[in-house]
Amino acid sequence: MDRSQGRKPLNKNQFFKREKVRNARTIRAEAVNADKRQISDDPSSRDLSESGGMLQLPDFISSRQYEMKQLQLAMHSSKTAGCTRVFQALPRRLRRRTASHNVKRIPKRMRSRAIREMLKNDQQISDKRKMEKNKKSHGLSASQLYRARMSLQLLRLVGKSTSMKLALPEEITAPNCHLRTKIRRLKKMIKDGNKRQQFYNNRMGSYDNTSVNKLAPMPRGKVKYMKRQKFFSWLPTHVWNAKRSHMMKRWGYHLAWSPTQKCFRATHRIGGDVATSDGTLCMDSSFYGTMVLSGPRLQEAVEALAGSQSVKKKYRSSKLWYEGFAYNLNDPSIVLGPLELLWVNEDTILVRLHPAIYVTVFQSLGEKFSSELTIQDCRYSLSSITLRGSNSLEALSRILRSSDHCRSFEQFQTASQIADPNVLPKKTLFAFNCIDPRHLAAPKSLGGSRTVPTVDDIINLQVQFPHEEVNQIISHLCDPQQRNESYKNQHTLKELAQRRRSLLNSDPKEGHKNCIPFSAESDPSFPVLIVRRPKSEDWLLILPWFWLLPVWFQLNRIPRVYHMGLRQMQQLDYENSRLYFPDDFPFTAVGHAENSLYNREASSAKWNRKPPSKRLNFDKIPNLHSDQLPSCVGEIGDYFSCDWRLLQIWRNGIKYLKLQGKDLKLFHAEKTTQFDNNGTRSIDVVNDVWELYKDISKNEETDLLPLTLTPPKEDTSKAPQLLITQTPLQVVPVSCQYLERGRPKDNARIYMVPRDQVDHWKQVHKGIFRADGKVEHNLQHPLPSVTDLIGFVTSGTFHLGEGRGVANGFIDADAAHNQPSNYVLVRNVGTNVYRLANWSQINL
Amino acid sequence: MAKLIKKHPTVKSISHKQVHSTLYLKSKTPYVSALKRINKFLANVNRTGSTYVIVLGMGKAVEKALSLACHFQDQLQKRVEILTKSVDVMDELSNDDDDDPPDVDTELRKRTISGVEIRIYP
Repeated sequence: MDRSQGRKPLNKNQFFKREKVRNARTIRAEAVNADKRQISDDPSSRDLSESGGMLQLPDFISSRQYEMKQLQLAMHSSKTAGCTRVFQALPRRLRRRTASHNVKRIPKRMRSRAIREMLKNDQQISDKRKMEKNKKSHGLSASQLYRARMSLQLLRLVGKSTSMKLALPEEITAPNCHLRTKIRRLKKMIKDGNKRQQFYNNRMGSYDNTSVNKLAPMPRGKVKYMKRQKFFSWLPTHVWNAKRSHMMKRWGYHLAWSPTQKCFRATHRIGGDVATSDGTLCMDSSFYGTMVLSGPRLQEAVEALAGSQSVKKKYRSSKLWYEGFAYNLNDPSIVLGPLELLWVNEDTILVRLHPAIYVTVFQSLGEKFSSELTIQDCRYSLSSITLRGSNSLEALSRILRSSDHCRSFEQFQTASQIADPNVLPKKTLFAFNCIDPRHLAAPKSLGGSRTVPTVDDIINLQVQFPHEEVNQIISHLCDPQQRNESYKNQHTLKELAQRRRSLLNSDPKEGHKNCIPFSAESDPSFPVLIVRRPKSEDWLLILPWFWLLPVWFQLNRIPRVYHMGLRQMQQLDYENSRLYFPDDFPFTAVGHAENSLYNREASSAKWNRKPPSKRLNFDKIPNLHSDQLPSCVGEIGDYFSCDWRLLQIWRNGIKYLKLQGKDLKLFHAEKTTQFDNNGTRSIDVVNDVWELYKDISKNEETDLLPLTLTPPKEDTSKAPQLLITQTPLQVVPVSCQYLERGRPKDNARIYMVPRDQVDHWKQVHKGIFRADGKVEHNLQHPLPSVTDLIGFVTSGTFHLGEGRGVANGFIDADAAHNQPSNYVLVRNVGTNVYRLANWSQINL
Repeated sequence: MAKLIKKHPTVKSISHKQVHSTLYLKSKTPYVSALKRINKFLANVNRTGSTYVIVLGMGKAVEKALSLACHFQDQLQKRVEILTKSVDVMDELSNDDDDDPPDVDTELRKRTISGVEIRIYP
């Protein structure tokens, strides 16, 4: 039997591809001269002179040169050999698979080659004429067809279901309601419905969707997509982002999680706040809810919501952007999440809140200050773009043009030339009326004075800040009527193209210019606010909801502007040692749920999917601690999250035991836990605390948060068990920088260095060297005790800026204050390797 | 009595082309890192469309910049030009007279310090 019989023969295409790769991979060598070969069999001898012994240098060099050239050529050609289509040779960013059948999607210079390739593969080339013919065959556009089909289905459904028939009005029965009358009725309805066109003041269907003192409804979008937005609404840029990013459904929105292209390093390099970042990262941050508050008791409400700092004079009167925490209105010790605030004038403010806490805050404000406060819900009427990177302003200056002469715009023009935003004053804010960015055929940098800005220009930004002008623009932005007015005569793309064409026809010289001239009477203009957020160190562009998309499209046409998602925001926050909501906010209800429910479920499900032999057995990890509790084997705490409940009970229990004057005995050798008369566990040794934790974790479901940032209220009247489980633990946010090797991961455990081991770890920090002068990494380190656990890592990975592992997390405040050194030990979940790190507090 | 809150960096306006041929030195920049970076810039200097690599240092970093210049001039036999400069920087000040220090707008003041620009030709 032929041995090759089992193998499938290659088809034409496979054969072609294999040959192509094989050809590409072969490296040619210079032909050996036959005459010389006769003299000697050794091929290398031809480099020697005929007499032998002398190297013929020119020959030798030229043949090596040839070989090197061939090697480089082969490397280059084998890189592209696998590609069968021309667009595969494009840079990764420009490649598109979608609609690659459509030649028009391929850059012009490559089209002819693409057509050839398609012909070769018998691929159909979509033809415009053919497509038009197809369109005519049913005479309906895609959306019309969809609607017609839907109504047909509905009619069928009504016909079939008796219950639906019963629900119909009496006069509509089968005999007296014929299909034609129905259609007539439908037609009439559509005609009546068209009268609602007056609702809009433009042909784009843009309108201001604001509700006062109640939550705004979801924006009216295309009927076709309504079903998909039942529970999670789309942002204006959804369709754009869905093609380029991984999306996720959270907090009532479809959000871009991360671009499909790998971008960890690129984000670090561009998103950094340095002059060399040379690019911009942008994100549609419209999901951040905006509300506008006004009323007589505003100051009181703001103080209750955002703390006393937010009503200080510098925020109230001088347009400084405030970033802080939102507090529970009834209990100022409870933090809800981050909050941003801008005083528009003495009796109006603009608040930005994360969607996870927006509704809670909105409703509690409405309840507490129902009559004294007017609350505009601008979630769907104000949108925003967040920009990072040193070229952010420069990118914006390429697409935004002021509609009239304006001081703030001039300042914006000056500031946009600065590559290093660290130089700008704390209060950097621009507000002006902007013309439709689609008036520009292509984004173009601003003309005018291209002199390099000086220090005096920067000082003038602050000294000559145009207060009245900015006040007026921001109050327009916060006014529903003015926002609606900004949509008046908003052009469709078609109308703009027509205008551009007629310009070109009437005056070819002038019409060729980049910008369609703006006329103040007929063309729309909209207010924009550009602000540098002092703590987040990024730029925020706030504008009316339906103006976002035109700006977004133009913005993404600029070279070196990249989009990003939430993951990149998190990465940049991590790199700059800031807390990212909600993952780094375990002291809030939302952050705690994110950690202990959402993230925990995700990673435990991932672990559970694997067969037992392929997954880490967390119960059997040796040499974790220097001592072992009898009731705790293997990894301490929950394996898939930061176990804050454990930390709370653990630290509180140990503190209680120390207060009792007991010498932290781990367990009684001769007896197990004792119960007192009431049936509660008596706390005598560390093991009892662990048992208490196990009791609690079995029936979790308590509303009490385990952590707090402020000192908890002391309540000594409670029983010790309740004191331990119900007093929240005060924690400190820290950033731990690794001092040696290692890469921290999320949920890693943080231990303090025991007093007797400080000297050893100091020695490790200095470096313990081998005999050959290299650092010894395979040391046997002393292990910390199980009672030394002081915290968890909320976000940790390799830090590209520092060039070493950095972990952000929280540690017990008591332990932080009583530390003998700045050292902590960090251990990843499921491993028994401790890494030495330096901790420093993160300023909130 | 004004109190210094923050020292601002210099005003930089740097184009896409300059990013790959200009190096700002800090007093904290390690000498060897700067050396390697300049070498890298020099290797690609034709690709970025410039004729030389610019190294800028001010204040404490002047010495480091000059010692780098000496290295390229003497050890590597490159043509090096040295220009002295006055660089404007800003200080952010707050007035201590007010009762509530964190509640005051800050004031920016100009200060001039000496700096040096070094051009290294490939």
